[in-house]
Amino acid sequence: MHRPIRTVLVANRGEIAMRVLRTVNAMGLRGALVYHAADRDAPAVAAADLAIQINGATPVGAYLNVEEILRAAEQAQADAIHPGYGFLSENAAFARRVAQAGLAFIGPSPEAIELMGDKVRARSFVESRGFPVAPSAIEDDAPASFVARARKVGFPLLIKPAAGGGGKGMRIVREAAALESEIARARSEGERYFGDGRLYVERYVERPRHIEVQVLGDAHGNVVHLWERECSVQRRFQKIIEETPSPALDPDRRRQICAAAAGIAHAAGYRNAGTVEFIYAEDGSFYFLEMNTRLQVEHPVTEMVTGLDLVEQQIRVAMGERLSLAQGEVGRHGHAIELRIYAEEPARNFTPATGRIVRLRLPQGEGIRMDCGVREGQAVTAAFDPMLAKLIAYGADREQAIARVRLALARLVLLGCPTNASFLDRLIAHPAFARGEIHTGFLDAHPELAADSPIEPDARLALLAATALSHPQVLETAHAVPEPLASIGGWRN
Amino acid sequence: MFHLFAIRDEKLSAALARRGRAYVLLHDGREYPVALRQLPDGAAEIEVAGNVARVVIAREGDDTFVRLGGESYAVRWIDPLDRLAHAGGASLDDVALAPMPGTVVAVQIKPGERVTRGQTMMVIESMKLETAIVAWRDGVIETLHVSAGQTFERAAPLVTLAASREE
Amino acid sequence: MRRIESRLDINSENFRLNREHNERLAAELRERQRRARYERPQRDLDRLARQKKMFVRDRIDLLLDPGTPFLELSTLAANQAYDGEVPSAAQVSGIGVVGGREVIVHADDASVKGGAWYPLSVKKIVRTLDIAIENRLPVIHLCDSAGGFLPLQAQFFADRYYAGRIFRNQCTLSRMGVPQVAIVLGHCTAGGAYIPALSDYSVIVRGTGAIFLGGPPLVKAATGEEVSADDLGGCDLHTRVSGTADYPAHSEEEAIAIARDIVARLRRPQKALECGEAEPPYYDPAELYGVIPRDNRVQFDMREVIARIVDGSRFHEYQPAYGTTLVCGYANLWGYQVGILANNGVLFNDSSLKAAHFMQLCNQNVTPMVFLQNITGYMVGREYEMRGITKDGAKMLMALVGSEVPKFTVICNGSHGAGNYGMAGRAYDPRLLFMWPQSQISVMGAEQAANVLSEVKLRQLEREGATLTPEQIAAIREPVLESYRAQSSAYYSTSELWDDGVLDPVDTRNALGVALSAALNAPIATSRYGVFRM
Repeated sequence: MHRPIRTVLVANRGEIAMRVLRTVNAMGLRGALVYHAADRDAPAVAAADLAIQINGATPVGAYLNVEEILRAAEQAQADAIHPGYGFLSENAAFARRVAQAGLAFIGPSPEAIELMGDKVRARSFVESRGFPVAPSAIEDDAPASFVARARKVGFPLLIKPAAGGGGKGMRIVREAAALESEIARARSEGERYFGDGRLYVERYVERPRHIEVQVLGDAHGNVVHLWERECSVQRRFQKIIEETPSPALDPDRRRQICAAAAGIAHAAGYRNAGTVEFIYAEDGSFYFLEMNTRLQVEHPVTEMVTGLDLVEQQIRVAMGERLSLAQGEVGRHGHAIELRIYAEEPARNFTPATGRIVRLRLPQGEGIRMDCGVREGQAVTAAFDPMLAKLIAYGADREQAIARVRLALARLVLLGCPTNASFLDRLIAHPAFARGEIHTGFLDAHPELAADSPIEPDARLALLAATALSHPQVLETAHAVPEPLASIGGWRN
Repeated sequence: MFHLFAIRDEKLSAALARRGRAYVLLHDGREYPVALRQLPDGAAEIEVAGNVARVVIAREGDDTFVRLGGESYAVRWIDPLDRLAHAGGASLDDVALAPMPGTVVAVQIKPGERVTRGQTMMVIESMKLETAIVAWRDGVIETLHVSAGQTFERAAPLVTLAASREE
Repeated sequence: MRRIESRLDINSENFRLNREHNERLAAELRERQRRARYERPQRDLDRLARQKKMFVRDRIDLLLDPGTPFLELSTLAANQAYDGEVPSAAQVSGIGVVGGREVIVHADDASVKGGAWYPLSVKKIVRTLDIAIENRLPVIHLCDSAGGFLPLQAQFFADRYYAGRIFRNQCTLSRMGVPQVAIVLGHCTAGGAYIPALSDYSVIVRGTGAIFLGGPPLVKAATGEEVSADDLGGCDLHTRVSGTADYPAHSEEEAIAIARDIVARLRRPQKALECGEAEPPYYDPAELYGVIPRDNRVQFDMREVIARIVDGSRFHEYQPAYGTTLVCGYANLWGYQVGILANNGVLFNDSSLKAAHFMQLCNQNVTPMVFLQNITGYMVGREYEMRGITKDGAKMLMALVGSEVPKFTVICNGSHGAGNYGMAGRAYDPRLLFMWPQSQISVMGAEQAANVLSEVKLRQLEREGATLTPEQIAAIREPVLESYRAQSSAYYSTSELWDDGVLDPVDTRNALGVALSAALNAPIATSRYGVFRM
């Protein structure tokens, strides 16, 4: 059944809001945006056809405020709401409210969200359908024997919150002695962050690689995969660098993993875009990790190699269209890498940074794409997540993609707020990265990469000179000295 | 007196002087001819003793942001008066003296209590005028020299804040 | 303007010997200055450290703008007085740049006798303030003195140009609209207390700075009151209660930073003249060492000196064919046009007239004048008296005193008799006067004086019918020669503050550049002369 969509309300912010609005415009649709006052200078606000201010107890709270968002949708006469990622994108109750309001939720069904949102339920579902999962112990099965069963899973293991996701609240336990206290801590964190203290435990794979597969389903039961992405370079389970294709997979493995992902999505009756995440071990075995029932941050690398606009696909599915491609028609060319630009200081333990962006020049070039959520003059504050932009590069092969992304980093100018840009360059330049020898412990194995490169004497002089020649107080002191005294210089008798 | 700059955790002293129409940078006992040229694309060229590098410079208040050689730096100019004003130890700057003779109307703080800048600590009355004695900086009350109802002379100490830490 | 053509053979033996001799003298000057500036008994430096005080030169380094010149005056004051125990007369004085502004600095040196004021210290301070008045230079006082050196009070207290003149000069400066900033870094006692009180702005360091008309010992003796220096006249008393000082500072560094900020706020005056593009001399100034003869009775051509001081070595000579023992003309110095008058021999009638005329031209043209002295005197003898040599010498004095343009004098070799006067000696108010290390200054040359005195004695004895043996003649001559040698050297002159400093000849160009620039802070009035006896 086809339902027309003329106006899309984007219930998100930053770079993803810009990204979604770009496709909405390209499709000739009207784009509306909600924003909190703290985001009033964001480029997305100016880019939207209609921007509606929303309120909340905190800036983040505004974007979680269902009533405000629905009110805005009504005001904008929107036909659909795109939730972006994070915020309410995987909130089944929100998806239901949107449907109740007669709007299209550009995402999967509330049921699919609920199924995959509960990590324990998702895991059992996947296992029951015959797809591989890691050895584990689920508390809910038999709470009394949870600790004992957890011990049997073997060490090292990972304690995970049942209601968690996106890498939050997970703890690695390497020794049996620490197990009980870590379980207690994980439970209290689960209660604090997700309102749910239930846990499960999984065998932890050493030097695992994080491989995920983009899937897309329509309302007519068709599901395709759009190949995999590798997101192994992470810090505390937060992704930093993503790429496709994965350097670890040979064609057979690739086929197996992607087919498994598509199978899982199909079994779940999945509609719209989603990502199935796997842990991939050195011996080539892989296990289902979780499924994210939303568009992911790193979707651009898939777009670069497949030539597809995923947001457009999402909107079409929401309109009720059939998928335009059969699995065999999903092509893949070249290699793409994405870097996440964060407002943080890697040398100071990645502490989030703030500041006003006084100069911003986005890099241009062959195969370069930058999805940027900030503009020159905007203040970066601690109100929101520190991700400012994504830098994506496409090349004929991995080597060319790496070269292009490094060139783009060199051309990127973002002054006024510290970022992790030079840290990213050090990461990509590392020979192990060039060889594709990456895994989720890569950063822990190379902590020195986070440190600032020391300032060479020539650079120090250049910085002092550049500053002195631009700073009014310094220039004023120099100019105040009259001639001929300035020319006589530092002479003494 | 040289200018003081902070780059990351380093403090550097340097000065700029003119030599005719050109400039020199004085740093670490040496003099370097320097020049800054704007380029048409908004970037600039910085030359130090013959070495030229491409830079992008943007300034905000006392911070100068420089992109040089693939890294981004923030160079902060430190006002000598700010830096030196805080470098003293305990001093009479920590004591509020009575501006004129009078009586204490109300005391709103106790020793050991933490106050913030602008907070009213006590109210005094003199010549039928009430004046609020307000904390001039964040700090901890060390001594209350007077109590409510007490009279005092001009320049009598009223409140002492604990000495702020040396910079 | 044509470039002077040097006729010097820099490869000759004579040049080499001269150069070695003068380089030695320059090295000796540097060494003496270094000791006067920095050598102190360890106990004095230890005392400063205990009192948490900075050494005066470190204070001045912090005060001045980096990369700018500092012309220190009379470094070797008192070098031949007080048994040599009071280097620089315990004062540092000089013209420098603070916050882009030309100023003159007067600083007590507490590392010398606690900064006490000796008679020559007072003379140096008065001279510093006279320079400030004549050139309209803002003054920065760095105050840190134990007070007057009481045993010698008769030499610095009562007379017109003694200590009282310091405070009178401060009032005059204020009347003229020339600002003064005092930084109280130690004690300002008795008269010294007036220095911050008479300064327009004053900064005082908490703990070490104090201002009082009578210090604690005097107060105790006078009234029995026992009080500490800080309670009697410290920072908080004067900045919060009495209003005698304006800005409290936690530390010396802060006090100096505050003073710099004050000076940066001061209005910049219009300079009396603009300077143009400067050009270094065509000839190497270091060659001056070879120009100056090692025997100071030997004549040399002043054009060779001029060529190594002025821009591009270019010189527009006035009356090149007339009065050739006086060389004069226009040149540029650090971009300023100046009129130079220099001696190439004894002054005759024609050279005196030429000089007086050229001085008037300089005043008409509003061109500052630079005098390069090497003069033994005016020509004597009946023929010259008939031609009116006395009148012609007098005309030079009349021209000098009627001049309103700034004058600067450098005594390059000899400066004797009326020639010192006619060539703008100290009494004729050059804004600054310097000496070269080998120069001599006295009423007449030592030999001449010895000859005159023995001649007088001989005549006297002849009338009595006696004669003098060679030994007796020697016994008359030697003491005269000795005392002249001692009291006519540049070092004696500078010790007595008859000059503003001994200069390494090679530094003359820079010193004059700083001096010129400083002098032009004062407006130049129209000249008006008395009667020239024609």
